[in-house]
Amino acid sequence: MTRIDADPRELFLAESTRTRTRHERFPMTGARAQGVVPSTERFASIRDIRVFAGGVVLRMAAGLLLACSSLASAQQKPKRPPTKPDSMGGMPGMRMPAAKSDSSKKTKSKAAAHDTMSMDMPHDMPMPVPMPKGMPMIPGLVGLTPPVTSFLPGSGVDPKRLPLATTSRITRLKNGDTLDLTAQLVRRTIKGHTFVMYAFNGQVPGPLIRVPQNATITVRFHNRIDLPSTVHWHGVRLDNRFDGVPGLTQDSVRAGGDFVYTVHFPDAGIYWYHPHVREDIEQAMGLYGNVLVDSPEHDYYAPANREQMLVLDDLLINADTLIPFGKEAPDFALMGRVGNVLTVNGEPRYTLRAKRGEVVRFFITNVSSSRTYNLSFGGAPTKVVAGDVSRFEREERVPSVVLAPAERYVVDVRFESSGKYAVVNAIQAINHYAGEFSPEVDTLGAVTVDATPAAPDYAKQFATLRSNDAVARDIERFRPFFDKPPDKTLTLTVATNALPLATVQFMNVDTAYYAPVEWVDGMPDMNWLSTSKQVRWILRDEHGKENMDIDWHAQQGSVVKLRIFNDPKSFHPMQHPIHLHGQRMLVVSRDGVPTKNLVWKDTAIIPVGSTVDLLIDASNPGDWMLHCHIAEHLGAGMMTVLHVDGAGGGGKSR
Amino acid sequence: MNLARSAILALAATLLAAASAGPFDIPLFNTPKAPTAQGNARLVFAQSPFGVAVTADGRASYDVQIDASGLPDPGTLGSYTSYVAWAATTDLAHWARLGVVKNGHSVVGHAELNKFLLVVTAEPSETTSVHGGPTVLHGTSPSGWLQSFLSHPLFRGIPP
Amino acid sequence: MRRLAALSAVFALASIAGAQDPGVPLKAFDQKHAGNDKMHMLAHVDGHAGAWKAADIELEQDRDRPYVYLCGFTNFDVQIYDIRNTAAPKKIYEWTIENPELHRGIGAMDGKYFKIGNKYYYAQSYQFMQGSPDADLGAVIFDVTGLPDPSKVKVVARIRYPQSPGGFHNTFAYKHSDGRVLYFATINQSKALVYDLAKVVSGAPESTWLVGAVPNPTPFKQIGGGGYHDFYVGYDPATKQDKFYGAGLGGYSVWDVTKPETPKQLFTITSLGMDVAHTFTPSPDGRYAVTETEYQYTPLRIWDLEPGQTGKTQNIDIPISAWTADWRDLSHNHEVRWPYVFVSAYEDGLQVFDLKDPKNPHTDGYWYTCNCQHEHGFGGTPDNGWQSTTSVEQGAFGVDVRNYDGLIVLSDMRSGLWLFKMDGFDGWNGHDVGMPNISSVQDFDHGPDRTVKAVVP
Repeated sequence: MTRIDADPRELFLAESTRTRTRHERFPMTGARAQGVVPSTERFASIRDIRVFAGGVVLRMAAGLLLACSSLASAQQKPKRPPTKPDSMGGMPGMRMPAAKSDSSKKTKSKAAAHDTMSMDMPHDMPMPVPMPKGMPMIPGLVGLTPPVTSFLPGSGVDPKRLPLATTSRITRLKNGDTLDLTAQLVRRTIKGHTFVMYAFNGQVPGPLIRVPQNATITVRFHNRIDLPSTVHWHGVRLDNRFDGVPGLTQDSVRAGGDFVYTVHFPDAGIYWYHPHVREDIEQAMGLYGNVLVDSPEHDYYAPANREQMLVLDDLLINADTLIPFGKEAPDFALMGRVGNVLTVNGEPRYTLRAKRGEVVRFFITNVSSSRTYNLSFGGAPTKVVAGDVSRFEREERVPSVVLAPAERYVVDVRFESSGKYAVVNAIQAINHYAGEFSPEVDTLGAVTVDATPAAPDYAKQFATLRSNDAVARDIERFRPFFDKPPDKTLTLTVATNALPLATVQFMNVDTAYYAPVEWVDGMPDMNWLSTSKQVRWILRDEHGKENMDIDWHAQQGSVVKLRIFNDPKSFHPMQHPIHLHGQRMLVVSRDGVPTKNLVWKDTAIIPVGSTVDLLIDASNPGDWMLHCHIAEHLGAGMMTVLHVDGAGGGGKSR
Repeated sequence: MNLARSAILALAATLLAAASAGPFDIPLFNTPKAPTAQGNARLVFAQSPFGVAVTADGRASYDVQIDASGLPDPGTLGSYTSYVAWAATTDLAHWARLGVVKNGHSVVGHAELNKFLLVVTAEPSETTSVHGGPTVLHGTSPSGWLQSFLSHPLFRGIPP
Repeated sequence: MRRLAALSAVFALASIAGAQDPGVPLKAFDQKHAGNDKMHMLAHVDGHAGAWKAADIELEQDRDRPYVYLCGFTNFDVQIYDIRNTAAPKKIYEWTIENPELHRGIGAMDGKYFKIGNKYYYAQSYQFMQGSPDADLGAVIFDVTGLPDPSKVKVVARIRYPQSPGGFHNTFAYKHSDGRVLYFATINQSKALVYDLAKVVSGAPESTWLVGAVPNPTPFKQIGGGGYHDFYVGYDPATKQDKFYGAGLGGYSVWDVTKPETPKQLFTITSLGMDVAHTFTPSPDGRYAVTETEYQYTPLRIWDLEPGQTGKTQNIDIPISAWTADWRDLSHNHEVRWPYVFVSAYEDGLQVFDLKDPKNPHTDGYWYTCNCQHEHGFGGTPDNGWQSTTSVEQGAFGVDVRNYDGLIVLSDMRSGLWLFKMDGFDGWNGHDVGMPNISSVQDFDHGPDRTVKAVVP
């Protein structure tokens, strides 16, 4: 059966997005959900709202109590900015270029200052972090600012001179082709407000690179933003030299500099590319894009009427301003930056028109800094067909799709009836003050299905859950290793220093229950005030070594079992999406229970309190990062290196 | 102020100690109907291709591993032949059948409530879908220990 | 400087020497058995198996209704005793929450009986933790008109307040001067709820039950926390006001609740050491008050409320005297039948002191009911039976007095139900001591100080 080639224009519905109504997330209240959520969605119960409302004031109670004894709040008062040149923390060997003579200042206009918050912000201009609706900041934290200089892209640049970002376009490449990929400043208009942000080739998401499996392309990267950068090819088992990790595989590309990547794509599937320098800023500000690697097998996937890319992201916006980043160090270091404006393909609302009975294949990527999604399609039957690096052994029907940061899944959805299907992120938030769960539904968009029947009709194929024998055979080779003892054990934990007293005391008190997955930021004020200067996220091995001090080697061709335990007794237990560069891995068991339907992954979510066993196919020589893909956690040190030593001693440290 | 802070920490420690050995553990307690019964339960995510099993609206979906001992012959409690585990909402309004429990290790599921009571009852049939028999073991989900800060002694005085 | 002196005075008055009655020898802990010559123990009933037997106690006042209600605390039940024969109380009724084994919390805490028209009711307050069934349950209301026939006892209503899980810790049933029978209840928020019990028992829509709320004005109110712990509601004939005397986090406050829908704050009592204000009982004329704060070593403090009652001051911060049974322990609840104060004094059992001279309280009678190991009180977790160490919160919990004959009943957490008589106390009427006839006992037929004609709703 011939696979339908999707109309390239339909992968991103660029035209229609400009006319749709923007939707803002109003977190934490079911009443909000009632106002904007179609009838197909669930509503929070009135009791949840009442309990929450009653608990809100108690948040203030705890805060005031803590504030009374919060002498250490003085520690967070603004300090004199450092006089030495800035250094961009978080990555080895990174330094900011020396300050330019800054002729760009001459171009600064009143309009620029008026339109954007693009200037470095002095300490004494605290910008309150947006709080969930109805929830005030803890009094003991009011007035405090993170101990970092504020940063937003495009300082001193007249936004009017920047191009307006466009939606992603498909770039089809074949073996041997060359692509110019430029990281640049752009303007983006979101919720009626214009911000200076970043984009690859002026597009957000960046260009969709579509290549055949086993192709090798050249990517000429041009860094035209105001920070050093690189490009990491996430999930691709490429030559280590081009993995894009500064201080390990290359030097960071200075602002204005260039680098040439040679990228080989050995595996079919959906991948993505993004910077590996201050991801908390660069990725969050729009530097991300997908790579779709097509298998030569015409029936690699079951037939579908159409393909769609869904790139999930979130932005943190306070009214008409972006919440600044930390220049010297990432802020939101405790939980990561969880946005309050959710986007799909760079826009707050996604729309798709489909025919009745149409099977749509969605390639979904989560590029958020920290948010984990639970995505569903208005009750339309959904089956997952592939993950990060391969298809599943068996297709599987699912009620929704859970994606941690950096994960990808391919799902087929059949829209059986005409009508409107809300694309939603539905989760259960925890209101710590009321001690209750609070359902939250964010509508990311809608699929409108008309009565015209789809042709061809793939109902029967959709109903069949395919077994992918090739995947099973491939995995079978590794089954003898499933039960081997772990070669490496990592415990996930955190250390803190000099956080505001109110934060420490509150975290000590709030110990009754640890959710395995934290879906939203329930305490954004505490989170905002934590930087990587005060928070160190830790991978600790069985020898007690931590992060980059871990000395971890494997022979090329070996199969490495990695056991990861997420310590629930740490100061801030939360889930971590652990990503390994350059290799593929299987999640063979969780908490002692073997996984029944395997898929090759490069990123695995580790819930709180869980022990997850990963089996790594260490076939690709080189020095490969393993890290938490919450951008702020990476910036706070949660990384190490697996040295895969080739026959020629390929693994090396720089 | 020190007293109140101590009270908060004491309650937090109390709750944490009482809640479970781990974040997914549920200590089970017997009742006068089965004073020799003992048990522990552990929640594990149900099988999911994503590693984290949740419902469409985001509620965690767990398999419940129950290790029980000392359960008497159900027939000694009345006209009962089996033990069945249930997940009940905390207001006891809704009971979801999980599965059959025996002495030893049983795996039942799926529990898909935010907060729930894990209850093992004697029933006249293994396949019964409505609970009606006496409770022999019970526990509270770890999430059931989530407390409002309203409940801290700081805010209502030290009991009693 | 004045404040410093005031604070010093507070500490001085609360000191050991000031509060300990020099006329009562300090007993060793293992010697605390029986009582003095004035106090006569009539009966003792264990009530429950297990370590914890009772919370509060309530005694009906009518001559033809000799009933005592014992709150079952962590047993989650309520027991009704017929004490026609005071030497042999007879349990005639028992009721337990449904599915008790699935509930978690401190359970049946406080009970109040009340009368509306010709019918008698009993309200049992409950406290269950979040995560437990009935975490929103505040009280169960029984129609007890048909006693002593237990088959005629019926549950007629349940009061729930889901906005504040944790139920009602303390309650007060009050015959208001406007004729209504009101039910005041503590919750885990900075206010006391006020219910119209006639609406509750008549089956009126639940939305009509709650008629008002009395805020807790202490500083923690500003941040939403700080609930009341206990209160007393009484009529002031001099000002013709119904007054609410509340004890809560931060101190004590007095409110005019003549219109309970719109309470008006009159004055407060607060100072250092008042953070855990627990019980507040005024004299019949509102001139003096006895207060308790809930932490070890604290005595009962006696206050002269005149400056507050007359509007001379917004806050009173210096007591005029203090009393304690044993400075190493802690008292709990108390009932005032002027000049006597009947105290359920935890490890020190029943204590009675008199305030003939409010500045020099003097112990009259006592009886040790706990018979327990010092400092092994209530605490721990629900699943270890609330066992803990280093707590003096054990022993005598609640006390009540029957006005027409002076019978004293006491509930002890460790030992159950006790009945006593004290020499020289054969009943109480405020008029006999030159006071209004006002106490915690309500005249449900005629209202406080006979302000209301008998009303049949």
